[in-house]
Amino acid sequence: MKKRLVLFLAAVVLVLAGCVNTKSDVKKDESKPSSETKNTSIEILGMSTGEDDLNILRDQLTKNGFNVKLNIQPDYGSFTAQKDAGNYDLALTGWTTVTGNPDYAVRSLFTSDGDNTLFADEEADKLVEKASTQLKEEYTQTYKDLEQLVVFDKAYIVPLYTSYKAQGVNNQVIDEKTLRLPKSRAAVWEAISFKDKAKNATQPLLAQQGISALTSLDPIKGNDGSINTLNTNMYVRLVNLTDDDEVVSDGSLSLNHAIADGSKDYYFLLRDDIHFASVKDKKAADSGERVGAEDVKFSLDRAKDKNSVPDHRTYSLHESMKDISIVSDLKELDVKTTDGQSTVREQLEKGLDKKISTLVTDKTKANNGSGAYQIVKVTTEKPFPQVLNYLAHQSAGIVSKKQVESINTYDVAKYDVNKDIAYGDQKTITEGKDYNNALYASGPYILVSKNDYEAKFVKNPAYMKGTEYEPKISAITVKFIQDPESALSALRNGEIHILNGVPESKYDIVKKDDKLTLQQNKSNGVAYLAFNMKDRDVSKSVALRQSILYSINQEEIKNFYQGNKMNAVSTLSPLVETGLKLEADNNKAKELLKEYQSEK
Amino acid sequence: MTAQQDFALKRSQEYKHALFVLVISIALVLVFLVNAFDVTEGTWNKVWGSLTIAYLVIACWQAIILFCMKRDLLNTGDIQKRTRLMSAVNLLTILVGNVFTTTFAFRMLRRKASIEYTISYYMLLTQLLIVSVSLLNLFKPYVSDMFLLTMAVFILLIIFDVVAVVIFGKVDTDRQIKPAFKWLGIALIITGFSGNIFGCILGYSVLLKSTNRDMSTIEKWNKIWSKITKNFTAMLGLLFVIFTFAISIASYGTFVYEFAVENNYESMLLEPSLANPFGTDNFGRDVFSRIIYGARISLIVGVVSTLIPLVIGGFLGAIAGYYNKSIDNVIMRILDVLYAVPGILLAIAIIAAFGANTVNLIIALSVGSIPTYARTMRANVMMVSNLEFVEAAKALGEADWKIIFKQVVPNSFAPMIVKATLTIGGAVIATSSLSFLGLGVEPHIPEWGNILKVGSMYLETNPYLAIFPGIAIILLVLSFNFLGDGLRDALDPKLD
Amino acid sequence: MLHEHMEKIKKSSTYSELIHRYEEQYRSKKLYFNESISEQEMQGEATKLANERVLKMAQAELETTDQSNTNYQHFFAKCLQNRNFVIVSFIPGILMYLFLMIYARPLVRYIFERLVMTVFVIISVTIFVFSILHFSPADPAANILGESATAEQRAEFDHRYGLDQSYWVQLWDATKGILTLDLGYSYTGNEDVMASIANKFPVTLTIAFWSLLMAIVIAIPVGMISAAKTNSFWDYSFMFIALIGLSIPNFWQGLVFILNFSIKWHILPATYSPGDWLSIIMPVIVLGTGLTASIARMTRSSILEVVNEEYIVTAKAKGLKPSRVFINHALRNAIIPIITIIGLQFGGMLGGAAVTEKVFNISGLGSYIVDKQFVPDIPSILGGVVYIAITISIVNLAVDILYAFLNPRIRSQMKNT
Repeated sequence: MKKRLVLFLAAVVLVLAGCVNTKSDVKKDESKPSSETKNTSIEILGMSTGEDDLNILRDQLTKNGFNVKLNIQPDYGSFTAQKDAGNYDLALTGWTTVTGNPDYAVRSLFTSDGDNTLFADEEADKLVEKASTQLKEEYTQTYKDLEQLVVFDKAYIVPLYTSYKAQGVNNQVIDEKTLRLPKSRAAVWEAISFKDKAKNATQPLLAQQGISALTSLDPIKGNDGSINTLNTNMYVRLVNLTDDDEVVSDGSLSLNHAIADGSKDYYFLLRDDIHFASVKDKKAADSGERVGAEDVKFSLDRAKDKNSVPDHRTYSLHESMKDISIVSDLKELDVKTTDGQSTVREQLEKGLDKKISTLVTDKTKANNGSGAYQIVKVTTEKPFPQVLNYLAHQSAGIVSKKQVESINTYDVAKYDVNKDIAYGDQKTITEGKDYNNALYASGPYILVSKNDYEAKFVKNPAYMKGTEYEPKISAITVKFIQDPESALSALRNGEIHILNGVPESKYDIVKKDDKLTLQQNKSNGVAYLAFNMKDRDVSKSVALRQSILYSINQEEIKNFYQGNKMNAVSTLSPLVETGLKLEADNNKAKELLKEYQSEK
Repeated sequence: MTAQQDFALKRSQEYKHALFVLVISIALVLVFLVNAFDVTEGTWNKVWGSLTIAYLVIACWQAIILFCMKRDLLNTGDIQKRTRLMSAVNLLTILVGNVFTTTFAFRMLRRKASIEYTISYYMLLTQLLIVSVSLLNLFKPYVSDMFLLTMAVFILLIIFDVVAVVIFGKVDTDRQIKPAFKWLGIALIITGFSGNIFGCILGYSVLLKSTNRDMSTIEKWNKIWSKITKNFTAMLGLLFVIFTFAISIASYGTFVYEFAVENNYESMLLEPSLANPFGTDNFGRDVFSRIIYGARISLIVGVVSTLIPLVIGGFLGAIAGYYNKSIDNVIMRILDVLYAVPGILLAIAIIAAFGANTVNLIIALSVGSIPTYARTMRANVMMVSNLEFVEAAKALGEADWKIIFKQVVPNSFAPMIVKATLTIGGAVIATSSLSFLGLGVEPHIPEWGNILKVGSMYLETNPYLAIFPGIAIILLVLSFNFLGDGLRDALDPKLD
Repeated sequence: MLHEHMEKIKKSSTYSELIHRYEEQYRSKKLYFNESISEQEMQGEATKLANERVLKMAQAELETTDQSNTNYQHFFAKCLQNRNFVIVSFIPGILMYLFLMIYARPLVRYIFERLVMTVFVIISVTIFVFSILHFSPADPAANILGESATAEQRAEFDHRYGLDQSYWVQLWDATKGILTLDLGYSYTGNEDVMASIANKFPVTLTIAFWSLLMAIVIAIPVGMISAAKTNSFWDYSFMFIALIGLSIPNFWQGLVFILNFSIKWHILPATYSPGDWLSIIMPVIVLGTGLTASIARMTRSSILEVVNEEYIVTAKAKGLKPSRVFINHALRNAIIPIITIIGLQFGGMLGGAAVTEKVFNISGLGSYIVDKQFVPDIPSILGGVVYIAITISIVNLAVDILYAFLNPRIRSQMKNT
């Protein structure tokens, strides 16, 4: 009896054991790449903010037979240090075209002498130059050729995805219809209104920003997340970008603008209803000084001149401008525009109540009501229609000639951070003993003071008074909350009204909350992998690069982000519809890898 | 109640144990109940519901046993055989995973407490837990190639452990035992290499008693271990620590590493199920497998980054405390430099400067805690050096190093043990804090801090992702603390 | 001079009178003891005594004539009686006076020595931290100037902040900066580092202080109750809760708190804002949890250790009230390890504040250092770490002095050295 029981049990165990699938049973049919040849090692460099992406890349490349090593750096500084040292095969980077024009998206990356050049390829250089002189209708094909070359034929970069922009709004407090979410430009504060309009005059709007250390409030001295939104709202520009990146004069210093035939001369007709605001006793005051053509010329001249200020961080955006002048002769405007039909003058006068009768060179004499206008002309080195996008960038904000010159009295070459105080220096507006706010704002708001937790802005009392662009809310407080999770908690708890940059994984939480509305728009941010093109296996073998290119599955990445990312082919994808698409192909990837290995 | 009766109740460790088990069981019933009932929808969850009922029954039965024990103790001053047999029913509770009642039941079954018996049933329990946790892999799409073989070995080990429990339940092992037992001891030590360190402890104990003729060694061993084995919280702590250690070793044979690290975009953020007992994370990885694999790194980082400063700091502290004046000054001033920078900031500096990997992590955490060990050791050595027996040894002309390591250090070591147990947990927590700041080990590597960091992002929508690794960390730290308290009670020379 | 006087006295009649008197004395002494008188011995003895006498007289005479033998002792003794001299002597002798004042009292000397050591520690910390930062592979220029910076811009940046100089020059500048309290300007935002630190440190200290206070107020009574009622239900519950408090990762606890108290129940704000005392409650509790648990455990175990000592048994045997024995004897003696643990944990708390500050968006010194660490913004990190080091050193000093006051054994040891 006992013996039988043992036998029976043994039989049961054996049957059960037979039912269990082991790993080799399941994986038997899958070919093992490692068994054929030695695994190819790939080192990916990235920052800890891109940890999720790196993890997906590691996974996808491993599955296609690569041996992946991750090099994760905590911050951009050490990342760049590693990149400069060449300790990588692939670097996970991103590019955001803040100006909304395709030239900015390709020039510094894909040309041999670009600021952030990834590779040197003569053909690519030619295509970039060609496209820059073309107008929108023509350049699509040129950029398509460029993408085909850079991504597919030569595989210099591996595109990953294009991001969305997302903004959470407290719809109980804010009239959400007045809150814009433009693709490229920073938030448009002047348009925002409270739901209860009576509160506009009494309550501050509570916005949020991650970085509390402000690079500089001089627009040309910074181009980063700490000041982009603030400077955009403190300084008016010659033109603005719409939510879809069209260049327009709406809400800008110009009433109209026109491009003369040949695409080298650009004309801007200035409005006369903006005065600089200054801060007196922690309140905004109308300085009485008009924002005029002299200030525009001064601002743009210093923007393109590398030596105009110490730590000039944006001159590379404006180097295409050759000359900025104030037009005094009305006859000059009788040239044709690019469309070949109308004249510059006609275009500048479009929709004006009072046509241009005289041009003045002294801003105090301007009077639009009587037909006395000011016109600024910008001339570029080469035909370059996209210069308008750069002029819409915050770094082209207009500052007061008088005020800046009276403060920046130091010698640029001998500038000493510890002694000399530059215009827009953060310490002059930080609460404390060094506080001495000398800002002159040409935009809708002016910064009064800041501390570690918030920056206080008030409305410019003399900004387009009586027009639709007059700021609605009289005060705005920007809270500095670094961690996106904390910021979201603050939004949900009513501590802030607007949160720009809701993380993808939190969209659902915002959508579910009745008090909150999630606004979404496409962004110009593209994430891609850049190959190391110096002395590495990947720099020599196109097959190897293409193998990596076809190993990356953008659909899986989109899946991970719950569909909250878009496909990308290059940094142009959000700007130009080229019609190209990258499809992952495991077989092709493995074949190319084999090809590479046999090459060796 | 007379004073004598009161004393009988107070004296009885078993009664105390029974009370503790009852409280824990009731607490667990409540926890399960909260999970079982969904307030917003008014529905009951079947799995949690049945667990609640099972634990409720167990708690009731435990209450009855407790009542009987109290009556026995009050009437006769001793627990009756019938009560002991009643608790045998509770052995079955291992089936629903209530180790508290199971250990209690085992304890009750032997009238006289025995070190070997206690360790042997803890050994059996550990083995059972390892097997049942490993068996969960059967619900996965596939198991590892080694799975069947490993499981067969484990089942043999269980049979062996049962035999050991029966033997030690019967044999009186208080003093010397028959030399023949030494073979059993050797076999036990061999089983201990599977990660079940209880086997090693038990084997050593049996070997000691069957071969050693020196009664004082046995006495010393008995004294320490009888204190530890009587302390049920310490034993539970030891159980969890050894289980964590053993399962990390067993995972080489029974778990599939791919489930823990390979992304699966089809199964992201799944709720807990049999295939994924703790759900899946944002990359579709099985959190259960990740926690099991993560135990390895967390244990290694925790233990090594405690041992290094314990040895270095303890040594420096002892020397500084014993030789006052210049040597003390030199050592302590140098350590003050380290000490003035808070450990976590120092770790951040070292890792940010030299990169995040396990070795750097261990070094970073070790360096920061050297001075605290040295200070604790120094303070105690200073106090002990003033005591009579050290003066006496000095008067007798003993060599300094002999006094330090034979008289002073052993007598100042108890606080160091408390400190060490606190910092093993502290190191595990520091690791997770560094992961939170983005300075931990590589994110795809399963490490408890990493898992918790990912989970904390989904605290609201998928709370289980944050709760299970959180509980794992809390349990491990708790266990080390329980164990440390038990060790202190057992080793403290002042309580002699 | 002395010799001259002596010769003079010897020649005078006083000398022969003296000899005569001593001879008389000798004679009467011998007579009394009935001994024979030896003339020669008598003369020798008398001359010897007379000479001694003469010497004394000559000296006395010298003193009266103000030409006494001038040695340092006499001179200074006299000078010291002169008030003006004492005041003037302070100018060159100030250090000596201080030294004497300090070394006259062991406790003051102890504090003084510890202060000197603290300065040494601060300088060493400066060198240590600077070296770590200097040799890290991170590059501040690349980080601050951003993606579009050219190599030329980076070089200019390095030059502006002296980053292109050698290690030793930079180290010297950094150390000098710390000592002269001029930490320069940060790389990002061009802020005055001293001002930033002065802005951020108070928040960290406030939170740390309240956490410490909370810990002491809760933990010591809890520890005492546990120790007084060992192995009771309360003892087990308290110690169990304390253990759980020790075992919870700070940031996890903070996130769970925010989820429940802010988002679900809307009781407390999720982020810190200055002036709103409600917003400080959660950070204080989160930061103080670990400390509370440690102190409670330490209180319990050290009281239990002390309770078995002989003097407690004696006190009990004397018939003192149990509560008095407990507080007067047990707690007083158990307080030493408790203070140790508070001192030990305080530094850890200032570091741990970094994580808590991150969770609650507090711009304290902890999160400041962590943020700047990524750049790395060397002047800011140096300043932050050194300030924390100074604080911790002062706390250590206070703990050591308390030690000396509280523990008679250590106090006696200190006096003996």
